[in-house]
Amino acid sequence: MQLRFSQQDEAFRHEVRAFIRDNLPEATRRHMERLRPPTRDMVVEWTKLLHAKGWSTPRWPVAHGGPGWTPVQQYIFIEENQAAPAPDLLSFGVNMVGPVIYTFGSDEQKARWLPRIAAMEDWWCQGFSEPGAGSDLASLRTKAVRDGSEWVINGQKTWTTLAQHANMIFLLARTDPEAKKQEGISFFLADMATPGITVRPIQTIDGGHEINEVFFDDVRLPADALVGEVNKGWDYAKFLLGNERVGIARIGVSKGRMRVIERLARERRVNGRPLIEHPRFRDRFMQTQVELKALEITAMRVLSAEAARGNDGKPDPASSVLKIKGSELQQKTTELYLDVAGEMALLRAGQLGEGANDALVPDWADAAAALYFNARKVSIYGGSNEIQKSIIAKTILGL
Amino acid sequence: MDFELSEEQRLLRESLSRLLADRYSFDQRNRYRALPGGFDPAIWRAYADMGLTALNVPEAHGGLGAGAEETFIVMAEMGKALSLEPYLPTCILAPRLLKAASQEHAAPVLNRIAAGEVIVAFAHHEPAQWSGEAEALSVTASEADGGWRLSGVKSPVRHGAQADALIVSARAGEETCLFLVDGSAATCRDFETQDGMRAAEIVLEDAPAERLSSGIAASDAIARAEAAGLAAVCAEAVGCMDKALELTSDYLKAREQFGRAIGSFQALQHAAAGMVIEVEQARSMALYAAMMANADDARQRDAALSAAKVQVCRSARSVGQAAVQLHGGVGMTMEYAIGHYFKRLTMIELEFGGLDFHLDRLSALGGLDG
Repeated sequence: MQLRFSQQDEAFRHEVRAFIRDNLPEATRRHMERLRPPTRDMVVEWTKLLHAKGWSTPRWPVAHGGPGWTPVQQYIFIEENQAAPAPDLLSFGVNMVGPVIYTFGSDEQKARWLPRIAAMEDWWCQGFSEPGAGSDLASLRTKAVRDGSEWVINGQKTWTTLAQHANMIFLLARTDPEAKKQEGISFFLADMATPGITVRPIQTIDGGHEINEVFFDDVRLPADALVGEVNKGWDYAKFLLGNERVGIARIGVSKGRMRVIERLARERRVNGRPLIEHPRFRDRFMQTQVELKALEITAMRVLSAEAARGNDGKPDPASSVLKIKGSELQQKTTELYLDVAGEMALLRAGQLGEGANDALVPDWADAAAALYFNARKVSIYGGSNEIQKSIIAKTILGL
Repeated sequence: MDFELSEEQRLLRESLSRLLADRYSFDQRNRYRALPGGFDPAIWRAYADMGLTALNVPEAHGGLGAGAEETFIVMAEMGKALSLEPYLPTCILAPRLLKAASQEHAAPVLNRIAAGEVIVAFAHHEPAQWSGEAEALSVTASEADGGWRLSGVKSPVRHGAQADALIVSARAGEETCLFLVDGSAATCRDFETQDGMRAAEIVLEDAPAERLSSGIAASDAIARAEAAGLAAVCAEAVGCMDKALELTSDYLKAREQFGRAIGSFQALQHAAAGMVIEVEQARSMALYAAMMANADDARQRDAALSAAKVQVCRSARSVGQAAVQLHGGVGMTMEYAIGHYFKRLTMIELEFGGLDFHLDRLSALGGLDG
């Protein structure tokens, strides 16, 4: 046990920070500092800049074009990128389908898709959840039937994040209706332009359009749309979800927000003095800062354990702790932001055209309520916090 | 950063863990608690034989000069066993309080601490105040016949009545000073604490004393000792919480109602999972406290330690309460171990400043960096 960051890690952090500072487009930085979700173009542009540096696939093995970083370096990179704040890499491509392809895909699939994911040539979305299959994902009903050399897909996916931007989707579909529910599922890759795929937007309570329904009506996919073996899709999906050990806590995002909140709370005056000097606000702010520090160290501990035992591809039960606490803290930061904005958060964003309502309130304030409403999702997606608690009870406590 | 134990650290933990498993069952602990001094000197001897008493003493004085990591390991193990000995004041606080003292005064005490031959208490708290500057200290020191004399009351002093030597904070004119007082020179009223240990009210009436340090040196020594003590009780709290969680989880598996183990009920599972989260967050901050306790930058050190204590206070309270709740009626009884963990965790919340004190201090120091 050595409770110090190594000098190499500190040097690496400085290198990452300097690169982001010098290369993140100014318009993107300004936009993100107002805590608005990045546009499609911002994500693509930034990912391509990172790709040129060789940094767009932080967790991939060198053999598949990864930078060869240690788990700690991967973490530092993601945290610095989020805290900058810069747009996240598109998780669906780089963290989800990419590792499934290089672990279970054919050589042709690897050669075809991995370079495109790294270069952000494709925007991937995830076709897992269905109207009847949320927490109980294995009860999904979308069917894939073999017809000659093709697969015919019928069914409906939902909560499909940013499907409106996507040209590719990876999905789970039932290939053996007779088998036990986890054993009859396969993993497919599909071009969103394939006839029979329809995307319908779902507006969320923040007023935004982030999620969608995706319908599959007699969608015919080529044989090489199947990843790995037939009926093994559930294993690949579990691998995909377990692969995201530490990133799900999104600690860098919360850290970046806390910096913005602290700055704004110093500027914003309430009853004649800065909000940060109001004891009740300050206590909640400090409390959140403490919990965030604790979570950051918890994440480092998970990484340290992983480095010691080697990445065995199995989910660490501690990642459930990170998911629960990480989502709670993301939500707490949005509550603090809402409190900083106060009544100025009343306006719905975007009514005076794209961007902020500059004329009415400061241009950071009208994002506050939207962010708060939007953040309720983080304790619901990726295995709700109740599901995570059941995982902890079972795998850590053996209950 | 590396959280995995080195070979030596693993050995340290395993040998202490084995010693405590053999000699510190809940029943054995109850017997030690009933002894006149509130602990078993034979256990203290066993600690000394293992080198635990020498851990924080500089090598020049027969110590091991070990790092914060080793102290964390030891305190966490002691927390699991709810150990009763005066390890914290003697082996963690005293070496730091003696740091600013002259060789002539410090060397003999440090040598005896390392050898496990002396019990030292820190007589600092006074009935009306917590931690403080000279103007707040009511114990006063006066110089007479080339020596020092102390008068006043200190309370509560952990293990004050069992101590061979007392390190006393006192005011000499406008200055905070630290003094060494022989245990026999004080009048002690000994009492049992809520967590099963001993504490005393110490009355000093013209008690002869040796001055260890004064002014800034004394204040700094106190601050460093309290920083180390705070980190130590955070580690101890983690051990307490680990054990409380283990006992609770075992109980949920063993206890049956409605024809099945109560651990099969989701409401209880989720409450227990909530304990896991709290313990892990507390462990992280206790490690952070260990990492920062000896930092030279006082602002950074104190902000980090306050942050750690805020987390540990909240976790200790929620884990302790949940452990009792999940045990049901037996959690309320002295007969069961779990209540004793709850009691120790609650006392740790109060030691070295509670939640509000540290939240305030963290704010005043401008929060955590980065």
